[in-house]
Amino acid sequence: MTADLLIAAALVGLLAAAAGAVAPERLRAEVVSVLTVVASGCGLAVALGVLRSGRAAVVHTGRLLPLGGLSLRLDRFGALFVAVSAVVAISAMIFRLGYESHALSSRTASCVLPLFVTALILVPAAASVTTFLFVWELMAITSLLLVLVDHRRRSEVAAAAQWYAVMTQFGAAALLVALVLLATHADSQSFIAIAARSAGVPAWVRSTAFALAVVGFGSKAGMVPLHVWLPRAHPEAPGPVSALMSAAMVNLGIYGIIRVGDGLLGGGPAWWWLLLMGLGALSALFGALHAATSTDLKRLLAYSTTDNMGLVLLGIGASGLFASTGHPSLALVALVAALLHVVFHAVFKGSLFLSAGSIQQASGTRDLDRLGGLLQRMPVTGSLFLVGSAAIAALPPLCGFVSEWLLLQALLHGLPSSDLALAIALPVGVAVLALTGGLTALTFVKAAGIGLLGQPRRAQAVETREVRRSMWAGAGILATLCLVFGVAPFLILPAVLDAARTVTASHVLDPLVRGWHVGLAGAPGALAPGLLGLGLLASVVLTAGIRRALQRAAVRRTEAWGCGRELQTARMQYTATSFGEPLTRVFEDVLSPAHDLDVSHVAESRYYVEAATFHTSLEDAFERHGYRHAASALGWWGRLARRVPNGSVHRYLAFGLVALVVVLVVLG
Amino acid sequence: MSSAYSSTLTLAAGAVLICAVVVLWVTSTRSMLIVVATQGTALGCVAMTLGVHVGDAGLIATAAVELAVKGLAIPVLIDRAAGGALDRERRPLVNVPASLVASAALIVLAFTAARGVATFVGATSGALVPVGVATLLVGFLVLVSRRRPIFQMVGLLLVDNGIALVAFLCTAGVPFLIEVGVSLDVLLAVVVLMVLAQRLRSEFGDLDLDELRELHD
Amino acid sequence: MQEAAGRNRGSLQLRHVDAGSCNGCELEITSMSSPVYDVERFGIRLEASPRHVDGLLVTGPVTRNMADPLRRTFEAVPQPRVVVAVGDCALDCGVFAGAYGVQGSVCDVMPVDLAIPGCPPHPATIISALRGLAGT
Repeated sequence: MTADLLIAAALVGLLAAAAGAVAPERLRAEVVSVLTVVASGCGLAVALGVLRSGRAAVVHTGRLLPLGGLSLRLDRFGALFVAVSAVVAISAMIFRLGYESHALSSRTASCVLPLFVTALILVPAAASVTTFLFVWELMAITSLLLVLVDHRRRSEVAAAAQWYAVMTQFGAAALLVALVLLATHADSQSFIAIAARSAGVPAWVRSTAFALAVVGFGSKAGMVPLHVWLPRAHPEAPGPVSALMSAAMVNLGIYGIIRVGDGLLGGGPAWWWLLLMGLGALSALFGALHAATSTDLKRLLAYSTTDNMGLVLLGIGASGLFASTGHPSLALVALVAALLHVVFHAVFKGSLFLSAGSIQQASGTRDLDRLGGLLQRMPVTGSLFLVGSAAIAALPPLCGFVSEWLLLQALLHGLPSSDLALAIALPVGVAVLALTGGLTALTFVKAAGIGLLGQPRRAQAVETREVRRSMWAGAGILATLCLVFGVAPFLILPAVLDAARTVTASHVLDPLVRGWHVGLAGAPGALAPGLLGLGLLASVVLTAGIRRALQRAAVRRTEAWGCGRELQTARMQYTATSFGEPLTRVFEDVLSPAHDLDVSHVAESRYYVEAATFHTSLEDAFERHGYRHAASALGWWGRLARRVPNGSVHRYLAFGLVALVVVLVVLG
Repeated sequence: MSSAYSSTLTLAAGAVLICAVVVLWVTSTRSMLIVVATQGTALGCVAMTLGVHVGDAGLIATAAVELAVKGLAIPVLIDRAAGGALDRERRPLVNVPASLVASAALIVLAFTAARGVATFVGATSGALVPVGVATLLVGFLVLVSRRRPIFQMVGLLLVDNGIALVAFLCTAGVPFLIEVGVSLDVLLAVVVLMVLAQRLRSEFGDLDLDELRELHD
Repeated sequence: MQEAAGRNRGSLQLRHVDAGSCNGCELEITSMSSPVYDVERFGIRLEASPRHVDGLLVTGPVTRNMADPLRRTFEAVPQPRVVVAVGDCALDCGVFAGAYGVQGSVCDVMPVDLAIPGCPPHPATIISALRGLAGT
């Protein structure tokens, strides 16, 4: 039954793609959205069925794909990711219904979008190397095409797509080598067979495969230093696509790392997990810092994705470290915390990106320095953005609080420890968590405060109106889930626990407290999110009631205090740049901001300034110091290679002769 | 009888290879045409011997076609189309002693690499397969190291002869239709190249292919 | 006044506004905050934002340029609020009466609750008057 639903999901997705290619322009958006919602719904149903029953959904045909055919097997771990992708896809498609975009309504985009969603649903179900690589590449190529939809209107889109294409193919190449290496040594390409025989694989092969898998999957998840495509590609993609990429696609990078590290290889030496924790900590700090100093709304959200994925990697690394040093219960809890954060991140990041898409469409700009006063003009979208911001800043009673709390608990309860690695890594992890939490709060105070509150800073923002109902409905679904999961995480915790148990084949029975509380079994301190939410609500109601009862004077409305100035313009407010400036100054060495001051003087005297232009830009440090050098080295290599074919026929023929001789030597 | 067969076969195949090496040595085009004609005849003899030994009328017909085309038609065509105004190869890219040494190395390589095929085919024909591969490699060397267009053509012919030799020895004959087709293709290539060489000569005068270097970006 | 004293009960925050004074009264106000006279021991402080204060401390005649800002500052103070006019200029324009830049005295622009005459008034005088308002 579940296997049939899985096939149905794939077929409906393909049908949606075909419909998108042939439907007339007026109906295209509706047809594609509805059919994709149906396909995602089937995916969600399969996932929920698998999560509840524990039996995997298996689809296996010898045809359809070369080198072994199509092999799908959705177990509980994969089902969790499918469920997340499906929910985000449903919200994004509902959003899509109202999103006016000529480029996204083109035949190509309408055909490719359902394919992307189908690929997102199929990747966690792939059970053989060829199926996995095929669906992975499908996902990569469809997302690349979707990033490119707006390239006629804006020139930065092409550059962003170039970076994305190169990095995603580089990651795919690393993945290919890793998986093929494992398949060769296990004499089979089915994941189950590889997992069963992985103990017999030599250690260097396991480590190489793990390292390459971390590179390949990490680059998809936005792990530093392979994250450079994320802050370029996610902002340039249209609204629903950015939400899908940031809330569903990056999760699959995490899925891959866990699948290879814990599932296929069955855990490994401590240095693997220390490496993962280090990279995760670096990603978290770097992402948080850049998010806090970014003035482009969607770029800020993209860097925040890097930050959150870094925290997830920190959790996964801690889990593996606990497992390799003999703390199975804590290992399971840390993995549960990481997976819970993945789920909750998808929910609140999806909501944030969809709201940001609404803001961008309504006001025409993503630049926070030009926005302002949107809460009055777009009350629903503004409120949803506030809910998402509160969730990502880990404020109770929303979901981000629960997952970060659980992660913190897992890290803290590993101490005191006699193991040196644990004793150093865990406190560092806690410190990173705390620092990024603070930076994230700052970031979203900036985003919500500058973007939504105050007065519009430029004329564009004055004209904005609330967006269509389907757009805020899409964001609203995810924001509601933020609240629901924050108050009642017991709805999803058992599923996440089962998923974590399945992939690590762990036998730990009850690592978490049962019932309505969230906490570690046997450890002091538990969280009651439901009670917390009720308490907050009660206190708010009580305070409002008391204040209203005791209030004597009527409320008097007067203008904002501006030092008694006569001329008060909207430009005399904090901007996003000024909000992040102290942070930029403190972390100057890491961020390396570029300042440019251009002063022109009056012709008659150098003492009088005619005009002064100040330009400040913040470029990603890895991009400037790492990637640009690599790109110029590649360019140098290419120019060198270009001089070899000089036009002489004899040289070209000689290439052929040499190739033939080499082949004969090798074969002989 | 079998010894006569095997010795005839060996002689003919050997003649093909020797002609290939001699092409590297000669510089005058007149002598080279004689060498090419000889090689074509030897190839036809190989096919004829095989055909007689096996008793396949189709193979004998093929041999006749080979003799006609490669032993007679092509050299005559080259001679006629050139019209006598063919130059000597004065400064080849790889000079004659060096190219002879290189051809020796290539022959050794061919024998080493093709011994697997040789054991697979077995008997006399099998032992001679490396000869065909060697002819192919020497033909390639001619293509790479000689400047004049006519040598390019000869190199192409050598390559084709090598392949044909391998085909005859391995499978005791190629289907008649295929061989006719291939021979006609080679004939066409020869005609085209001769016309091209004439045009080159009338456009640029001195024919040195290495000086034409437009084919790059 | 009694009612204000009863309300403030030893805590009075004021925002000083220079509506066009010669700075003589400002010097005396600065002296009153110094360690010699120390007005803060009575719970009376000067604050920067009018939103955080109980009233205004205005000096000088109200010039044309400062009329609007003074009015805005007054509007920004939450109720219940007081206005203290310090110096002769704040009361009746003092020596600047009839000057070309002067619009009027503080009493002409807004209701004044406490007036402290003097040109300039002695710091001790200002303090004792404010103490009456503060209730200490």
